[in-house]
Amino acid sequence: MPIRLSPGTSRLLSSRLPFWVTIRLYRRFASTSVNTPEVYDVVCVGGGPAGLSLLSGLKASSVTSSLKVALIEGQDLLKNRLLKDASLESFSNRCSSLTPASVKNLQEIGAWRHVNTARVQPYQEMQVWDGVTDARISFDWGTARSIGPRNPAQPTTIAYMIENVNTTSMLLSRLEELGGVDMMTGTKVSSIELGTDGEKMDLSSWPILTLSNGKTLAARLVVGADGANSPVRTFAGIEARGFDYNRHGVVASLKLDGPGWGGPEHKIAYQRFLPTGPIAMLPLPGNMATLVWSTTPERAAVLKSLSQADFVAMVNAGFRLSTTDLEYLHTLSSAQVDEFAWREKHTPVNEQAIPMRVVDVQAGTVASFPLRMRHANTYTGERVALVGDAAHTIHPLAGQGLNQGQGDAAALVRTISHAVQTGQDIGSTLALESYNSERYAENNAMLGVCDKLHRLYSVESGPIVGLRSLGLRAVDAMGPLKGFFMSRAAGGS
Amino acid sequence: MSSTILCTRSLACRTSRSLQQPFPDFLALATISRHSRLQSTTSQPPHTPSPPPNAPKPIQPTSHKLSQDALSQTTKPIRPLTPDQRAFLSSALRVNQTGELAAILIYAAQNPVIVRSHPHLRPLMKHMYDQEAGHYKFFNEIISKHRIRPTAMTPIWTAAASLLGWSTAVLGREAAMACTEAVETEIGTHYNEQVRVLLDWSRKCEERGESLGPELDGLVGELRRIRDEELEHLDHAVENDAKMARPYELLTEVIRGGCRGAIWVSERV
Amino acid sequence: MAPVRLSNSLLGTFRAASIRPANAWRQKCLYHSYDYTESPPFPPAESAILSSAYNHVPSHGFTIDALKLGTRDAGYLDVSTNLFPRGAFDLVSYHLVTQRLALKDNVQFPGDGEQGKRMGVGAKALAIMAQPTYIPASLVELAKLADEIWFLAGDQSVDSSWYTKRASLSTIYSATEVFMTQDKSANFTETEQFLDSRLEDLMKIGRFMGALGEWGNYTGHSTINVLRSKGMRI
Repeated sequence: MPIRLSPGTSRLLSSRLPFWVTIRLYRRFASTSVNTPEVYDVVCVGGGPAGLSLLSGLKASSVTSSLKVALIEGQDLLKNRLLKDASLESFSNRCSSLTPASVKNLQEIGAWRHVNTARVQPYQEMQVWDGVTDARISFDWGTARSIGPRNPAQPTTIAYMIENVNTTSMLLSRLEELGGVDMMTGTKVSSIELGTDGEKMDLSSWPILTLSNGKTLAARLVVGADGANSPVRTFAGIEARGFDYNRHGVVASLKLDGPGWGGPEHKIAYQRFLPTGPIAMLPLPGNMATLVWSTTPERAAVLKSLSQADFVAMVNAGFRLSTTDLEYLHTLSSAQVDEFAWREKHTPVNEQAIPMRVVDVQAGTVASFPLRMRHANTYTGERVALVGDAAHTIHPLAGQGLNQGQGDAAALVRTISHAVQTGQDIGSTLALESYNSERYAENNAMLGVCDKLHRLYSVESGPIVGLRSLGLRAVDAMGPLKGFFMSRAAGGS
Repeated sequence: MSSTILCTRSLACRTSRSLQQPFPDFLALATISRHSRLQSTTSQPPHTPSPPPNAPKPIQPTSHKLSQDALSQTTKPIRPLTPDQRAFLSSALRVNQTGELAAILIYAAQNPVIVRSHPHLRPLMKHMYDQEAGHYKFFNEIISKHRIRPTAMTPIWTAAASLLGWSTAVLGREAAMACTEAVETEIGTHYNEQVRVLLDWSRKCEERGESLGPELDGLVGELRRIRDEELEHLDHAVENDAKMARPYELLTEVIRGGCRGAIWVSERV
Repeated sequence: MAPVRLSNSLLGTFRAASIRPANAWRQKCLYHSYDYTESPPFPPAESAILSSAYNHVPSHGFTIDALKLGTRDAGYLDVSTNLFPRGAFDLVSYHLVTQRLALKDNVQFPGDGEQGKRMGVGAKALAIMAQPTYIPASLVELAKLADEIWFLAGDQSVDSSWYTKRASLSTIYSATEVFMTQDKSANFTETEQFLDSRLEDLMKIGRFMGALGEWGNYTGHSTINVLRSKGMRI
């Protein structure tokens, strides 16, 4: 602390005090408060579902609720929040499927009660079929048998369709309710470096984050929840391996002819495996649905350039016409409506087995994103942990990406709780090891399965097509096996 | 003895880096004007065919496909290379490219294991890896540009280098550093030899009033820079207790012998 | 009859001992400098005779007669054909080498990939090159041709794919040449189709092997990572 005395006072004091006391008029320390980083226990970079879920979990658990935590997010979260009275006629095009395990987790941390329930759609059945041979499998708890005695309280819901913005709003509400989190939204991280050995603390192994507004934070543990191109992962020197699928996922919000063939109480999700990639129609409340169509970049560009009517015709064609017809339709730049109408007459199809006809697409919701698979070499480093897309990126065909992030967040909360309870340094590699060993193999398996499914269904002709159809029909016939797959996909609960 | 060589190397590194001139090069010691220096490091085939009647004479560059530097070189004529010289360059650059690939694989295999137990070594390992990756990229460009055949042993060397890196890392930090020291010693000697040969050619050309050409002059400069960086890695390895590895002599001798064998094979295959 | 050329090989072995070992071998894969032009492939006397003999090929084929006429045209004595111990094969070789070196001036790029097709030699020259004594030299020439084509197509591979690419191209080239000898269609359109479908197969296989290699590499590393995550010190 600088000691400042006026020159007059010094003369006065020096005449009274013993000679050995020296009064320094100005004393400045080299490190001022501006440069000293503020010390946090956990800094979460990224305010997506995984990061917010982690922080909610930390604050909700009594063991970890006293940790000093911060959230850094580039976007203004409050601005993007879902309004309570948002119209049910329009839905965002970024939707995800939450498994029952994820929902259970959200209930445990007390976030689920903040969700906008009217905009969440639980669905009870999933129809998957091969676009080349029409071999079909239908997932629902009615026909599947669990291994072991049937539990009468077994919920019939397979998963919940929810908009991503609904998830983040729900978690934000919960965080506001819990309090105690330093939210630094609207700021980006401009750099992360290791600190220096200072007078008070040896920060030489601590990550020091510098934000775009000039603030610096020192983190005992920095959590990277910042998406597929995670800067935190780059800082930690962790490499992510994988491949690009050379496919784009086209998303859109659609309006259907009706609430679905099972009625509003038994919603059905559909997925058709075309050789260029699966086309999936997932139900939303009312007559709405969301589309995820994985296709080649060229075809994705064509789809995005179409008029609304043509796009609707293409989606309908995607579930009804043969692969050769579809290939032809993609070569047209317009007038798919007429072409589809003509071809549809000559293509027999069981209307009850496919989604209801699409009548409209919500303007401005047709978008695409590149599909790739990445898996980081490890989820933890010295004072670094990765959750969500920063740790792994997966093909959307099984709807597992968001749920894996939720599972990661829950596991990391458990790891940090255990470390706090046993008095360890939560950022040490020893403490973080259990998170890695809990999540890595499981995520790796899921990534592998989705990757192989994608490759299996990319084949257009040859013996593999026959074999996979045979396999699909076989699994459809075997109740217990189907039940096993369904419970694994539901999050192992 | 090794420490004096080390000091000489470090000194030479710093001086040669600061000089930035073709002459003199402390490490490529006094060039010995012997006929054998012109020949390649490979053993000569028993029946060397006589050079074609139109033996290389200094010619002025005329073709439009020649490099711009060559065209602008109006001071000295460029001496074309003899087939033996070309053979030497081919095998030397082939070995260099293979060597850099092996270096990258060794570091990539050592990195996760070492950094797990010694996190403070991460910046150093990354720095060395980045430099080796730069060298590899440079030699790849040279090989494809000058139509040199790469070695056919790539899959075998890939497996061997990964195994070497992983096994020395598992033995411990000192063993990993000793491996780096051994490999860099061999590679440093190898580059040194190449630089010496090229400088010798250059000197002979100067005596005749010709020049080697901008390509080769550039190549010599790059080789010297790369050699200096490799020796810098050697210094880092020794600083990090490479000599404390047990069993030091066995490990280094085996690795150096392996390197020499790999170099010999890559020059030919 | 348009000058045609043919190389005969099934495997394009690059290590075949050739009759003029060191020169031919080294010419292939040596350091290629951009600072000066390369020296011509044949000595001046032989070069003169062969080029004038070449003019007689359309009428006399690849035979000793063409060589003799060529020596006379060039102003040498008839016994100068002793300069060519391999006889008609040397004329074939001259044709192959000059055509190969002229490739870079004749190349046209229809989009990406290989350049336009080349002309082949007839069945007679094929028969000459198929003689056991000349097979190694033919193989070497084929390998040089494949290397030239890949270089002009902009290939920048520097690992084992360097070898597989050249080997596969040599195979395709020689198969196409053989096909061409019995092709009766106008302007050799059938040969073009044959070549295109062979190249398409090659690309398909290449893509598949590439994807397989990528997948194998990923699976190997991810197995190690899983084991490390479980605590194994590897």
